[in-house]
Amino acid sequence: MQDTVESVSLEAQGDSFVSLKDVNKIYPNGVQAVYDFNIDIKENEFIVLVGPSGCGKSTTLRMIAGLEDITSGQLWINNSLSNYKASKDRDISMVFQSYALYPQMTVYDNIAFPLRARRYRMPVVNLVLKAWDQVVEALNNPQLLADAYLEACDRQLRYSTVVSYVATKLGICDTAAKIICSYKIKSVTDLDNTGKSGKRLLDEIKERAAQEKQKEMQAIAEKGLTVDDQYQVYANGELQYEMKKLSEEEIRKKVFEAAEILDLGPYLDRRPKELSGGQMQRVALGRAIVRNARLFLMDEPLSNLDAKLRVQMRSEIVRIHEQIGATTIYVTHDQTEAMTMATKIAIMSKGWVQQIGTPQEIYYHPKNIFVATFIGSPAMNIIEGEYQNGTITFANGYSVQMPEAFAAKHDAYYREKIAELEAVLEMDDFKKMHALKLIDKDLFALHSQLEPALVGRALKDVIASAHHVNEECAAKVEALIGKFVENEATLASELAEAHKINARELIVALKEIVSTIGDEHGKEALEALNALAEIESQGMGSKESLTTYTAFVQAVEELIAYASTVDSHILQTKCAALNVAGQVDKTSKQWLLTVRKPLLTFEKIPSSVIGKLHNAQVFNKNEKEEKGTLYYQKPKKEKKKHAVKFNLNSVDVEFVNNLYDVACDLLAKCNAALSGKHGVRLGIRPEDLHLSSEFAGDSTQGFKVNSNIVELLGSELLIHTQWAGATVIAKISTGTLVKPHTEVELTMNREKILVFDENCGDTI
Amino acid sequence: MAQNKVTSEQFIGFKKREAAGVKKRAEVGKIVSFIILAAFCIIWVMPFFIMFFGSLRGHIDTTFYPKELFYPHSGYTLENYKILLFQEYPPDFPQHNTTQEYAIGHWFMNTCFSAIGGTLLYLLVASLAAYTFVFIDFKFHNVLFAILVASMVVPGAATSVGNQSLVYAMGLNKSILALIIPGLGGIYGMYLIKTFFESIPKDLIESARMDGYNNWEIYLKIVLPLGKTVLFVQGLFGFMGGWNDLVWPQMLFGTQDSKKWTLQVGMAYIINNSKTANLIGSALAGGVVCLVPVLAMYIVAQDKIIDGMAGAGIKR
Repeated sequence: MQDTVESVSLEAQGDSFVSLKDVNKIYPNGVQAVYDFNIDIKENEFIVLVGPSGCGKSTTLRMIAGLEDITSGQLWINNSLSNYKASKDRDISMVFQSYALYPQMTVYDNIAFPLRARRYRMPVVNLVLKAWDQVVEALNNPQLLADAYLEACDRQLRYSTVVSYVATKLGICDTAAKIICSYKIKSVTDLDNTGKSGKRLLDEIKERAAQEKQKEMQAIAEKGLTVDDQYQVYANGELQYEMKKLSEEEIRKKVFEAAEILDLGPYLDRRPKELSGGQMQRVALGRAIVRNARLFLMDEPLSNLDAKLRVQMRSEIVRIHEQIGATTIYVTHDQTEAMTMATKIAIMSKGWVQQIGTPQEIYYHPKNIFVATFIGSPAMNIIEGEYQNGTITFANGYSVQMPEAFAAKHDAYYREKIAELEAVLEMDDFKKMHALKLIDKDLFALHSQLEPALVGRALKDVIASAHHVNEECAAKVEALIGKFVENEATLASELAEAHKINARELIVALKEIVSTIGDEHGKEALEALNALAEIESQGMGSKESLTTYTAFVQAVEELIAYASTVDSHILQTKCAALNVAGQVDKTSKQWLLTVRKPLLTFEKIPSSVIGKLHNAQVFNKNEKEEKGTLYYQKPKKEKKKHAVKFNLNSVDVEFVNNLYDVACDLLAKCNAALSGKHGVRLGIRPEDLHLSSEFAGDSTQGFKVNSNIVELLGSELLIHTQWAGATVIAKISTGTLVKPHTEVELTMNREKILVFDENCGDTI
Repeated sequence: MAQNKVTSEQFIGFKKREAAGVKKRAEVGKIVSFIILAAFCIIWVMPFFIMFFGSLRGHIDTTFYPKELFYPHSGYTLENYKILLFQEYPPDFPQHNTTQEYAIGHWFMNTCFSAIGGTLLYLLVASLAAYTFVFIDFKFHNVLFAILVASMVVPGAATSVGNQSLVYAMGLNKSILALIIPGLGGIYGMYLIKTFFESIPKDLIESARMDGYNNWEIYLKIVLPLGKTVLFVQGLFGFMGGWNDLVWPQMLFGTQDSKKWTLQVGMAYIINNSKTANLIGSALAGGVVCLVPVLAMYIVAQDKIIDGMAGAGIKR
């Protein structure tokens, strides 16, 4: 996981058949669809990628199929690195959502289509000998032969000529069938007629067979080859091979096999538009299985079918998977399909993999709140509450006493989390972000910087605008800052001094952080900082000695507080312009920019960390969606080319990088959580809510709710209700009939309660 | 049939509507529209009739036009066709100034070659280009296509002089290939075919690619069979354009030996010649000769043309 670009290991992945390592996908327009996809798939497994639409699951599949480029990361199929292999060389077959059947071809041709594409290495077979032997053999049973020919003529099939029909019927090769058809034997008595040479037809054919065979044997002997009883050709005792396409008879055999598996026999002669949805689906499956590929990809194959057919095809696909045993990767948005078909599920959200595991694991031990609510129907109930010492209290006063082991688990979870976050904040790139934040906070305040020389004018401005509001206001403002107008000069010089002191303090703080950054960019930044030593040494005094300045800062603070109560926008802006606390010397600004540039290189943030912080943002309870929620650079050339649109030297553009903030915030919250009361989210599945009169297990104290809606689903009742500020759904058996708008007492199964952290959504 | 039985309510409904005059109005509307359509039909067909009967009129009767429009007083004659096809002038035919031979057989073959050959070749080139633009992802293909489409703005007449000097520079001015080659760069047909190809689901192509087919095989086995309607429509447009083209062959071969001409150039010469009035009949006969193959094709392919025109550009 901590692999950097330089130290990628190009080794095969042991026993896994398909393996994706840190696979990312960034589209040319800069949208990142898949982040850091890691999965190992063993042979014969049935993997389902599931997630809401737009979560990147289809993109992942198309990357495996070779229909999309992989932006970064490695794709191993069958122990060979396949990133740049053409999709035809990956030994995969795919079922598309739209089935992708060729409308101009019959079902037979559609299924045969993949077989006709490529050449295979096969032993050389002498067809002449084989054909004549088979003809002679077929003549031993003239009735069957005549019947076959007659039947073939009667049927006028599109996909199959008379020859191929006879060949299939008699189980002989096409060449032999062609010879038989050339004699047009329609009944047994035809064989007794006289042929061209005046003899009985049967004898004539046999004679010709012997002649042809003799001739061919001679030809072979002349070339120095030998033929065994399988008609395979040997040269000097070695079996000869050639690259050739499958012959029609081999194709036919395979298509019929596939048709048999899928029960498509009667439809082989139809065109796709003459088929129903389910049949089209089966044809698409047939086209995939006929090639015996070792990896199957399915892209929402059932989403175009009606509900009943979908259930049927679901079991059909599972059956085919068991029969063929090919490794399958299946994409769907339907959790039922995922839960019933998969041996392993990968749940995705917004391009991130949330959890990979067996259906049982995912159902009983969801890793975070997204997985918990996505899987299960109806969805898990989430109730917000506060945790303290093993007890969760809800907004309505109801409290759940958690099992005793939970408290230890809770503490261990947060300790681990804190350790993890501290390690993250120790990373070079996060230090860079910290330094950048310090610089930016002050640098980007510069456009509103109050020039020491102009302070007098600014003060007069404020007083003037206060006069415009009303007399009372003017009096108040003058009382606050009037005294500074008089000794303007002192203030100006002290301001300049204070800016210098601020700059010095900033540089010292920066130096402290930057000196711990290990990589070359940090050293570069440190050099730039050292060049600032000049400014550092100039500002020797301390801020406490600047009495006028201190008074001024205090007065401005009061002024701004007062201005916010006055209904005048102009006054408020003018007052804000007076805010000088923390402003740095203007000359150091240019220097700081040179420090900033090397710091803007984040190359080694492991994507797992980004994933965690991403989740912390997305599943945060206070969902204040900031614009451009997450923004950072990754070590990808394309990304750099497209995403860095701002000029790094420009002060006007704010560098929106809140990864550091998120990490700091999370750390603070985790620390708080360890020390006392904190918010959590409690998850309980509808099927674990019971009527308190019926449930005898380890239950919580019963609570009364008003059943708003009651749904009857077969043997179960779904009770929808509002409780503790959330919509709660309970699934109870129909032993007791609950009517709508009545009061029922429910209880939770204490063993099944899940608790999620309020800040990052992870399961505690 | 049971469902065709009229219930009493329906019957009453019919009667009521009849009483309200609905049915009558509909009939009146039909008759009026029939009359209007018939009138337009006659106006549209009239020139063809005049041409046809005029071609059967001997040189003696030419001055009785239009008094004896459909039946000349000295009867129908094939002398115009004889003049046109075999250069056999009737013995009493007055003086005329035909200097070039009426090599109508050559003209016909030349036109067939340029129209049919040019169309087939253009279909190949345009469909390959369309395939490339739609199914192959290469750099700047959007820019390239935009440039091509932008070139459609320039009218053909503006570039014809340039084309002519190019053809002369290439030394093609003696060859009949010059009728075909400049037309192969046409954008309109390519654009039409590309639009149709875009409606072919990408899945089909991706699936074939995964099965191991290369671009050429995909083009032949999937894209061409699926795109045959649009190819037919474009083929028809191309054929008509090639058949009826006058300016370009005239520019190339108008001053050369008449055996190099196409039908249209020849027709223009015949019409030009027929100012002496005696040859008007032969000009009309020439019109018939030009028209017949195209008309025959239209009649044979009528259904497909209508299908193709309706189907082109509509997504399936």
